Amino acid sequence: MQTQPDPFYIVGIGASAGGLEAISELLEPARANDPYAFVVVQHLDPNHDSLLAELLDRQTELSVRQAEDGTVVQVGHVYTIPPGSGLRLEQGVLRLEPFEQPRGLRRPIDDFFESLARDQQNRAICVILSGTGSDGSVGLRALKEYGGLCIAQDASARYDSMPNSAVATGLVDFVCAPGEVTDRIARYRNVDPAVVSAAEAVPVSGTLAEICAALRQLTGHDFGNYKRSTLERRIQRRMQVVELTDSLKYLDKLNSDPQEAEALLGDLLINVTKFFRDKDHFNQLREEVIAPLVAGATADREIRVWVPGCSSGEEAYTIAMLFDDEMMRTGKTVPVQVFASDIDERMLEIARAGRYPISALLDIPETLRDRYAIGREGSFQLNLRLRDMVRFSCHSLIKDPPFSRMDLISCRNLLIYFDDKLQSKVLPLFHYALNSEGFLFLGPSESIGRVEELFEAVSSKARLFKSTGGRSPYPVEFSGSPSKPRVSPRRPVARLNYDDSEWKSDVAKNRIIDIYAPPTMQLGRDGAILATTGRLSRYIETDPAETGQDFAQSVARPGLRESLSALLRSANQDGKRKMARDVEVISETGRQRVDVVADPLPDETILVVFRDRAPFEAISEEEFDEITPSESHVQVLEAELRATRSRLRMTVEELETANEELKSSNEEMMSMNEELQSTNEELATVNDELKSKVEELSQVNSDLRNFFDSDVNALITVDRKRRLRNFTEGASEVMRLRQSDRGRPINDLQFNVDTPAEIERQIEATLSGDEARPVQIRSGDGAKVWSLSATPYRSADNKVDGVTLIFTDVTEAFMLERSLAREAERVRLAVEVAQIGIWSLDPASGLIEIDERTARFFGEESPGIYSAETLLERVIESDRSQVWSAVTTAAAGGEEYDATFQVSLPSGKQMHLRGMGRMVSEPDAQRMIGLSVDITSEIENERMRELMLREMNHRVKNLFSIVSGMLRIASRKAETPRALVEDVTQRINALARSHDLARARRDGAKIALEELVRTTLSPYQLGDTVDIDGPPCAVGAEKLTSLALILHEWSTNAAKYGVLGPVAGRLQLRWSVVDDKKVTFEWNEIYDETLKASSTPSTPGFGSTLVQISAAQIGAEVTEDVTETHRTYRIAFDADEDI
Amino acid sequence: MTQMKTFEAGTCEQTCRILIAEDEAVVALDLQLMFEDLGARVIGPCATVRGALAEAQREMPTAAVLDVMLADGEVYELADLLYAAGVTILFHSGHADARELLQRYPEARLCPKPAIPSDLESKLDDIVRPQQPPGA
Repeated sequence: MQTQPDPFYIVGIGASAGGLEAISELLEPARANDPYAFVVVQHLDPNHDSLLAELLDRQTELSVRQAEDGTVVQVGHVYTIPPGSGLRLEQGVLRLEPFEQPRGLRRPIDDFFESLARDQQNRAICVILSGTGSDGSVGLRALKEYGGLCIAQDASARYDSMPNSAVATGLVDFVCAPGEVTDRIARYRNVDPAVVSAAEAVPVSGTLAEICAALRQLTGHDFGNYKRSTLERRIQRRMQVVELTDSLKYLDKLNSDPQEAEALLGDLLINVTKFFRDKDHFNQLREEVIAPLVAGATADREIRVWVPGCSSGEEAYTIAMLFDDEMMRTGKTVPVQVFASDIDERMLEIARAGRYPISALLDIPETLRDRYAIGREGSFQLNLRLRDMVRFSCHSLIKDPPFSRMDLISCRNLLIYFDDKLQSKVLPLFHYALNSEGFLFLGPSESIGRVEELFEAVSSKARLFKSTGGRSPYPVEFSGSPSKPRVSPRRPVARLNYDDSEWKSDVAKNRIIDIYAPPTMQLGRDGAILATTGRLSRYIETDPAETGQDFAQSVARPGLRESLSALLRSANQDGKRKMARDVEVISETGRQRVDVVADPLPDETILVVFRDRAPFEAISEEEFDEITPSESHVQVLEAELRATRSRLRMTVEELETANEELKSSNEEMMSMNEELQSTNEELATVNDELKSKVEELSQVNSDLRNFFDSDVNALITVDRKRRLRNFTEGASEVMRLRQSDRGRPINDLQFNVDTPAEIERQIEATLSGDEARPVQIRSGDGAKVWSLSATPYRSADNKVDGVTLIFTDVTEAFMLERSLAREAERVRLAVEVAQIGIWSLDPASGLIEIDERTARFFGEESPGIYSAETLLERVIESDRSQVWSAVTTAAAGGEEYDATFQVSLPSGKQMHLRGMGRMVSEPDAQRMIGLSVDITSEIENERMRELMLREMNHRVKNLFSIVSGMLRIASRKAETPRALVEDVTQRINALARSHDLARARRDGAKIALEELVRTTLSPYQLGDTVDIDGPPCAVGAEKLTSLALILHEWSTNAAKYGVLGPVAGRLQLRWSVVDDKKVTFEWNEIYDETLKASSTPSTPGFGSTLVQISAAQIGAEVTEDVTETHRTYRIAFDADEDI
Repeated sequence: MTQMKTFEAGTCEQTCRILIAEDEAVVALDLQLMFEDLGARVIGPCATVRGALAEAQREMPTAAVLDVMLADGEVYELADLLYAAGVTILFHSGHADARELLQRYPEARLCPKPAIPSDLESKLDDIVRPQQPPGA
């Protein structure tokens, strides 16, 4: 029984109506580190979820949860039973199991306590709190049998029926308020021998004898010859309950506290019994004993069975069932009486009620179950017929005189509690109590030991024995004098108190009595036959009408009958030995003369001894006739008496029948009452939960009211008939609403929105079961934008009963969205205009997503996701590593990526690109977002600019050289510095003008010859005297300087000496183009009057040298024709292409 | 004026022949006058590479003053020919890369445009004088 010490106790709490409060109180002082776990079992309505765990969790620091199948019970936790299931504990694991009984008959608390007891044994604790009914009281017993602790709630229980029922069993250890329970348990645990150190504890073993002595003194029951180990264990547990570790102190307590003796006695008498314990053995019993007994029985002789130590009666009922079933089988009806005895009145009460936990039902074979068991609330009761077969009485096997004339004694698992000495006294007693053919049925581990001569084995396996016949003498009191208990005994001593007899349980004496002693009867004062010995058939007969106890007067044979009545009366009156001499006893076969001695004994019985005076004489018919008349008077009286008795019996039977009916009506009433009670319990539990629910509901309701009152949410509900059902304050923005508008058709109401039709559409769509998509609706003035979503309004039975319209103010979001769209459009445009390509790189995977332009830059056909490597290959080799390292640096969080590089596309195209990028954190990943720009044209432009700069530089230097050369040349012939300066300045100006011409044109373009001419002549007043004419003709830039110098020379000359200067005349400038190839230009000065030859220089001077060289530079030829009337220069050069 | 006389006299006309390749007429004239002052005979001045090559094939000069960029392109074809013939070359150029030229023609001389007149004169003198006979 002692299990491996577990670190914690499991406390089962049974509660029902009014239990919530009590459980809360109980758990409130419990601490999470206490070495207990709690399992709460309640009667719950299987159709409702239980809020128990939730409600309790707020009350205690322990963690509370509803048990599930397979939940391992852990220390410091509270588990509650789920609705609709029973709860069971199996090796520390909670198991759910469906109820076997219909509602009203379920006893979940009993069921759990029983499993708790089996599983945890002495570490199981049960607590029974407020509740109606009696659930828990049966389970409690099991728990106690296994050594657990029982606590019940005191008068504080709101419904006291359940705790009271528990207390009534007498097995409850403590009765206290729920708040004290944990303290009680703690104190119980503090003296647990597994916890207490050995030094403190004084073991029971040392004081066992004293305790037994005290117990005998106090209760009258002697446990001295019980098995030590069982006694010690049970006393130890009792000590733990009263918080003692020292057995000497306990002895003191036992002596000083009468209650304690009662309690200990109760604990010691608890034993385990069940229906059909060892089924095979019972089968054998039926075969070997019951069947023959029934077969051999006659209706006038009842079969008598004794079950000593019956405890709660299961064994006795088992035997009764077997007899009844056997009778049913054979169709034979014989009276059977089962006497069941025990010394524990509480157990006897259970036994008499015949009511057992439902789990015990399984022990009964199915066929018998239906016949004898009646389902009750959580238990079953054996039917009345069976209960009437068994008589329970309080009787001590050890102390009280035995029953007698038994056909069968079944004493199973009682001897095991006795030591050898006691056993060897009890067995002859059984022999005495049995008929000569009687049977003894023992428990599987019990034997007849040293009294083999009294019994022979019928089946040693089934422990079935048969009396060897003869009769043991009436046994003397074995356990010393029957000292009167100080404590009032459980029952009044109903039986006569027989004194010691001379006869000893000695074989020799038995022999003498059986064979050599004269036939003897022991009679009660009223003549009832208590015991007989010897051959009595000549003196007494068996009356077939008599079923009750035999009385000597009635069974005595004619002749003896008259004398015996007088003899007994006389002996009773005087209390002295009397003798009737020479009585002639007449039997069917003959007559016998006899002396009859009546000897009143001190125990108020009378011994009747027959001494034969003469040999038996056989009688003839004639003689028989003679006798009869002399006896007729008595015969007639007796016949009348019998008839009267018979009538009386009939009346009694009728009464009994009526009584029976009343009883069964009562049964029905009781069971109805129980069902009502259990319903009431469930209702009370539901009520508790509903109260909590109402609280929560009012909380939710208040939330809802606040929600509707708030002006944040615009919400409108419409019923199926499109009438306004409800709305929130916030909805007044959407439509003008007053409280009185409730119930008005929605169409009558004025919506402050731009598209009221959309609202109706949403309502219709939702009512017809479509999923309406949210739409945007603007207020009438356009200042607000709402997102309208319509959801079906579902009634409690989930039918669409209307529509809920939710208006969410999305003005801000809408504005934001619009400005975002504008922004996006701007950005898109900028990107478009700037020809920017955009990409996004995932550095982890090396994949890059590119847009269309980037794709084009890198020579890919379409936008999409590419491997960065593919794109990198398009970068020319010299740039590649620099680009990649810039990218990886940026990806690693370094400098932002910015690189310029060249790509070489498969098409052969070369491009210059600039890439920029930076890491951005997105919720799911790190990405690099970047862009690419085509900078090819910029690069080209730059190169061009550089080229032009170089060119310009060259030209400028050239110009300087020219100026420097001109200066030097001029210095050769200048007469004065002023003339030098004049001369050179004019030439420089001419060059500058021609340079202007060149600069004004785009690079490489041609200059018209006429323009050049006019520019060159621009320093002079060109009046009518100058005639410029010729076809359009282009001059290349390379010829410009030379032609300008030539024209300059000619015009300065003309200004100094010719028509542009001192000489009057005309200047004719003509040119022509021959075959588009050759240009011929003519400078013709025509004088008005003939000049003197000297006035015009004809020798080649510096000017003409310059003209010659210049002409030579452009591959032209210059001819000069000077006369007195004119001066003509002609120059021919290659034509350039047309302008 | 004495220089002018020398020019007119043409003393070393036979011994010193200087090819001038220069597309700027004024500069070319300036150079021509300077060489003639020094008593050298000038071939050209030529404004084009083509023209200068033609002149050189007709009469190989003793020295040459070359502008790098001429009217019809760069002067290298001419320079190669002259250099191979051992003609003393003075590059008179505004944009030529001096290092590049010296790498190609280690013996050539350089006079960047625009030249300081005295510097140019002394350089021209240098290329004319070695060809003068000791008696002149």
